[in-house]
Amino acid sequence: MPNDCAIYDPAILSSLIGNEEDLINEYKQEFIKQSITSLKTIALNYNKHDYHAMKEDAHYLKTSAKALGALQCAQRLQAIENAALKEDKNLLKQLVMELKTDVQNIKKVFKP
Amino acid sequence: MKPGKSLASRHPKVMLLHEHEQDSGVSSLISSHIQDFRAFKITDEAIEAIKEFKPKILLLETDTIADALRHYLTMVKEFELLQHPHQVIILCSNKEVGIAYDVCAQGIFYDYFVTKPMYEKFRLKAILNNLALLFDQADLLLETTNKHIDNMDVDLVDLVEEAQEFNDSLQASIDDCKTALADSEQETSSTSTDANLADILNPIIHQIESNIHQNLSQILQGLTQHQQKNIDTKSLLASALQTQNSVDASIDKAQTMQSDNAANNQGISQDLPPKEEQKKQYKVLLVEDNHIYRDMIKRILENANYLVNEAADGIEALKEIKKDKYDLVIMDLFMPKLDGLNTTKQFRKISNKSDLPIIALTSNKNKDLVKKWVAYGINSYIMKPSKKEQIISAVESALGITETN
Repeated sequence: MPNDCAIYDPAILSSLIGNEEDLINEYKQEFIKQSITSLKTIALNYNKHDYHAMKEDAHYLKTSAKALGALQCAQRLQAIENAALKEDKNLLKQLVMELKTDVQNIKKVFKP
Repeated sequence: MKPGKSLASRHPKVMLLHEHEQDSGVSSLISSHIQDFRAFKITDEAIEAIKEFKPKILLLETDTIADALRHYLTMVKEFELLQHPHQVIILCSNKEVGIAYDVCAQGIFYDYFVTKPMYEKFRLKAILNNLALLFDQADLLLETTNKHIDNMDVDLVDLVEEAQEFNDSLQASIDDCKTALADSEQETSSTSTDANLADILNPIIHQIESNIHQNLSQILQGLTQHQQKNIDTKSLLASALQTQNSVDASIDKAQTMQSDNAANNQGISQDLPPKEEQKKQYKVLLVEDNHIYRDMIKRILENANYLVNEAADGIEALKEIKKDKYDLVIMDLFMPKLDGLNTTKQFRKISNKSDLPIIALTSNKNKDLVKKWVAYGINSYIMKPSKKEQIISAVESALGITETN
């Protein structure tokens, strides 16, 4: 999947909760925690070949990724949902690795 | 003891100890159901592992039950292990099932499971489920318990859900009553010599408890009959709902009596402030499993002067909707435990919730899906994510609020 979107679009979060900086930072830090936990769960479920659980995990994180404007993460999570539905093991492996990079990237961008 | 091979988790809360080089195959069954599990051959390494990890659940697979008892006593007496809260399941052969039963009946071990030959694998899973709940460690379980029910017909799924909700809500009511009773007893003993509240409430609570056991037995009986004879489940559901309503009425009565007594005891009834007559504040139930997004929507609604209560999944939402009166529900469609569509279906079955406006939170809106949602009783939807104004506008529209209001 080509990275054809930005890592982060701040306008999305502002349109949802306004421009209060402290609040925005609070949500960013919470998203970092959530994405690290979810990434671990997704990888664990990949190792168990539990594709249904992978789809649910990806859907869960996609909600906050979209709301925060973490576009690359959201796009990757949608791809994981699709691949999990097809039980495409090889593609899922690649996507999980890419998601790891996405999470690292967003962590750098969200760093206070 | 010699070093042996081990399997899986690095910090196991569930351990299997087996006598021979290989276990009977039960470890793969356990590891498919439990995380934080590890199997050891009974060796020094196993002793060290028990010392280090203090497992809550220990499974012992030995040639005989006498061996299991010997090993257990050695661990406890000689090595001074297992001094923490734990439970033991013995894995035995079919020949020794009577002895296993007796040993467990005496409370020495929690339960037994026959691994030679191994059959009824769900029984072992059921034992592990119960222990996980006993230790408040539900996160140990890897798979949901609804997989098989979900594959069965819709009526059975509904019936099981109804029975669970019924059980949960009544248990919650009893807990509330008990807490209130304990509080009242404390107040009464310290401040007043008036009528003893406990004397009044205890018989009512006993009656409620007795009703619950009776009703749950009826529901369980109904489930069995349903599976065996494929009876009409709708009448059973109606009966369960009716009994629930009657018990709810008893609980309300008990609560009313309790508050009357409290007011009399404290002599404050005349000092109560008049009820607020303010501009109507709409009450919204927000159901979304992702806590970050849920918090954002809640913040938006509260800033727009809505009262918002939250639920993380459909089951929580059903409990909440029965406890309180809501003007609107905003609900994610894809959630664990009970998804948005099935939760909506359940809402609509509750007689006074048939007109309750429900807005779906979704990131997918193809025409077929929208038709399906309407068929399930969803009134409108909000795309994820939307702008603040779009969310407020969708809410106002669902509540029939115009700008002049």
